[in-house]
Amino acid sequence: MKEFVLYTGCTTPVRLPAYEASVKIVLAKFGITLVDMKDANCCGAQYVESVSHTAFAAMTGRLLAIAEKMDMDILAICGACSGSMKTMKHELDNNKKLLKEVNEVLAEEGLKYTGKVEVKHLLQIFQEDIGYAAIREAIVRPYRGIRLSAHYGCHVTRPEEIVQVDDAENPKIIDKIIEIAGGTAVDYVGKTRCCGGPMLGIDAELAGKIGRDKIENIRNENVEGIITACAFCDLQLTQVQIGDDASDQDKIPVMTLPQFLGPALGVNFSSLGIELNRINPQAILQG
Amino acid sequence: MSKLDKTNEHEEHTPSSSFSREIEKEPGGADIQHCIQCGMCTASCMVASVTEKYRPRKLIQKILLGMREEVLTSELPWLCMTCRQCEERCQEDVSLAEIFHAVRNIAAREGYIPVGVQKVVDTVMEDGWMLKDGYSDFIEDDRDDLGLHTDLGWNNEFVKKIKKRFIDGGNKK
Amino acid sequence: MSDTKEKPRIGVFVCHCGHNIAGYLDVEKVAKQAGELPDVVFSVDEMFMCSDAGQQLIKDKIKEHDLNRVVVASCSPRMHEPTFRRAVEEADVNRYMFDQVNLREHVSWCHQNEWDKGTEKAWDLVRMSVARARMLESLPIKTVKVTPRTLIVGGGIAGLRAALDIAERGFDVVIVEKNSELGGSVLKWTHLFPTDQTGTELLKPLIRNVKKHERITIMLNSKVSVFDGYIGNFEVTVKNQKSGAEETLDIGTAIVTTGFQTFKPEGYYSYGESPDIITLADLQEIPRSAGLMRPSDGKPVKKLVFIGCVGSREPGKLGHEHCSRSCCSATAKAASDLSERVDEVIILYQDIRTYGKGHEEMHRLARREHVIYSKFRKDEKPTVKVIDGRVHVTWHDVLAGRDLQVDADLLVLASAMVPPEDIVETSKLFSLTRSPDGFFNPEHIKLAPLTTHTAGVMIAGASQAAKNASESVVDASGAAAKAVGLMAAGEVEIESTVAHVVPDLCSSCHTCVTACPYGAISMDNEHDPPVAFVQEAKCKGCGTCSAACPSGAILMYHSTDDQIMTMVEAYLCYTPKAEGGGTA
Repeated sequence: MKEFVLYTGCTTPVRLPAYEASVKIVLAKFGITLVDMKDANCCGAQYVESVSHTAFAAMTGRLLAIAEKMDMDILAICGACSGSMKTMKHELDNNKKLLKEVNEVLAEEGLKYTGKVEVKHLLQIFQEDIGYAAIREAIVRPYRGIRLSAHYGCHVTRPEEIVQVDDAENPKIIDKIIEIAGGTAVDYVGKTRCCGGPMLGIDAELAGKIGRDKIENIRNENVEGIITACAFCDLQLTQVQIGDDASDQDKIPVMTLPQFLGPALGVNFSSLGIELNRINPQAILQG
Repeated sequence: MSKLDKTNEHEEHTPSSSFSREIEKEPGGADIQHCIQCGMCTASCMVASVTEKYRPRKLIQKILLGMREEVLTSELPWLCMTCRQCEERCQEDVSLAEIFHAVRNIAAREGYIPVGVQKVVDTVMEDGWMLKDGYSDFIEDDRDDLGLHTDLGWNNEFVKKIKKRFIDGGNKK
Repeated sequence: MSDTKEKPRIGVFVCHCGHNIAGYLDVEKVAKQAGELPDVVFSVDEMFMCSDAGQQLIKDKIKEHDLNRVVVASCSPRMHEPTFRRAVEEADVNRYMFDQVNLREHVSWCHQNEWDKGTEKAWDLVRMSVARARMLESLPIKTVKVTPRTLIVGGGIAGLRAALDIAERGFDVVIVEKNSELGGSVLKWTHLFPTDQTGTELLKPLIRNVKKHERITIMLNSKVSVFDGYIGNFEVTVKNQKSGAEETLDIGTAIVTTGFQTFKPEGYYSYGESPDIITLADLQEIPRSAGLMRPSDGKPVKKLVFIGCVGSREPGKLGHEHCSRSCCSATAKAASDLSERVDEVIILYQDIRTYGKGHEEMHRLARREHVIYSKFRKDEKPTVKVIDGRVHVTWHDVLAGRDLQVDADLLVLASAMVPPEDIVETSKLFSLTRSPDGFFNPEHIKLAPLTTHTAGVMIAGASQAAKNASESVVDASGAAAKAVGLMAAGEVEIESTVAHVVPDLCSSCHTCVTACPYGAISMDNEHDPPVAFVQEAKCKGCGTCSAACPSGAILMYHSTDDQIMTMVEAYLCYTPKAEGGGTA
């Protein structure tokens, strides 16, 4: 029985609770239990980080320290959080001065980070802790060749030397899982490009352009759906298809990886929160 | 963003290395002098491909030339999405995302923050997380239906402490 | 030695060259038809004539059929004429009794879709060559001795290195240097790259070894005034510029290492209007010291500015089109050396070419020491104005898209490397040609970069093209090896395919003497009136004299009028029916 402390980040619980639920159910199928991190705070990615590096270090450091106190490794399911925690862990592990400064603040709550905790992203759990063989064995209702494209997310895969999740220029984990579950994984132009999500708070127009560019590249491949591994990306790729500047073309359903894998493992749709997906994913589920 | 974009394109600037020396001392800014202006970053940048105003290479060159006022008061350093595509491809292993974070930190200390960013920071440092106002009853019900706990339990004391110490308090470094 | 009296016994060998020739024409047919020509006693087609098997075939068949003339129809003589000549010689047939037909470059490679016509053309060419082969004559193989002494013109780093290399191998060397000391340009420099030595430090051991070597004679303050003779046997006169005294020397080979000079960029960037505007070469001559001072008032330099590509890379401007190669690296080194002594270093560049071993590291080092690199467009060069003694520089930085300005305390122009003032004199003296960049032309830019069209004369270092000191030393050792090769052999073969004056026909008109591009013809005063006489070692067999001679007194060995006319007849007057002769 493997255990991880789940850090959901700010966005998932409110905007994508189905993702949170499906992660828990699907991982449970493989014998992995998740404990919710209580009393957490925002990791500070992007916004606080831009304003004060030390504040950001303290906020993310606290999350690492909490996990250390719980004696469990962290599972991150949002790309931005995964990126923050992994890079900040790397920095704290190598910068004694910063570590000292952060621990000084944490000490006031009886917390301390010493480097014992590992931070993993959902994709790593699938590849390393579960393994493709186990996934293959657990498939009871395979898809019938439906064409799907994977979107990995920038902060999930980069910078490669630090996060070490997948090959940053040619990521394969989601594609492999699509194939194992009976789908057809389809590549597209600009697969590793950003979805535009981080730009939303600064210039929504540019964010929309970037997201739409991605959708159009995927549309050129005639696929039935997009599979994601980050809450932010999932929301962004959905939003650009629904918002004011969306094109008139048919919308491509966007779905998170565990929501996609669940039905193949025999999990029923409602526990995966499928009906909450804003673009109807019937096309995927019937494939 | 009226406070930003105070650039005066017509004045001739005298190059100086003082700004890049300043950036070097900020966390994340150490590699600024490694840039050889090859342009790989700009070729890979998604933002650059959707808008004419943003060119990462150009922005780095402005830092190297010492155009401190122009860079700090500009919106351009805030347009980096930190997607790190440039970093993967930079042949000198320069992390532009980190350099621009360093620039933003300095800009923030001097009072130049885009409105959108300020709003989010204020929210996070007050509530402990971003979406307290967005957590409606409907969503609470959805969570309940999915079998998820509804009390999200975010801690808002820590962030207040951090804000005082590192953001309001003049910011160390 | 003429063999036209004996009956020709010709062997024809038609090469498939794998698929190269045989894939495009019927080589078997050509070989068969050749076999039916008069005087051809053996004819065959073979896969690869140049292979060991092919060469052995020639030798075997010469013996078996008592052949006295060989025709090989294959690739270009530029490829394998020496190979086949050697083969026939090993079977005791004079090498000039061999003729090669080019069926590859002249037929198969240019007529790839014309089997029948290609075969017909190949047959025509082989027939012509057989006709010529009948008329060939043996020619003597002549050699000339090589005097074991090398003349080195110019005692800079290249000359010194070459001198030492040659002397160490046991040959005499004479160095002629126009200045009063050895060391050339490198001696004056106080900073070198990538090592951190002064020119004097670097050259000291070299000069010391040269001076004490018993085989090396040094002539300072001297220039070569006469260079006569031919390979292995040059007659040289050296004149002392101060005393006027002249000395003659017997020389076997020569290496010209006359170096370069730095272009004085008048008209560029207000050069000359302020003492604070200097060239990179000037900067490299400033003595090493703790601080860097302005030439104008001796105050410390706060803002040091470099501008690259001054007088280099200007398309359309003769003598200034080339890249001077060493400046980008030298500038990066100078900038990083001086960055600690000044407040700011700014390098205005068109491109950065730090290509060599250790050079790119210097470029990066300069940047890490906060040297500011700013790129300007080549059609939008910086402007420099001297205002009240201030050197005011303005330019447009292409990569930041902004106009920039600075008041430079010291402005350094990376000025071009150009040929020395007396290059025209030198090139005439040694019959050397020059490339558009002004420097001496090598015999072949890729395959023979150190030899020239004047056999026995080599070039090395900056005299050949703009380059840095390390590269000049490489050249020098290469040229030295060439010289030693000639001298160690002791004698060198000269081509026998030269012009020959028939004294009885010569009318002493002197036309050929003027016509010869190589100065190989002189008048033989032992006749009365004097007749023209060809210095065979200098003759290149070009045929100009023979064509010019109004009396028809000059014949070209191996390309006589008969030998050429018979080919024309064989082509035009051929009848299929073979007369007389036949196969053996």
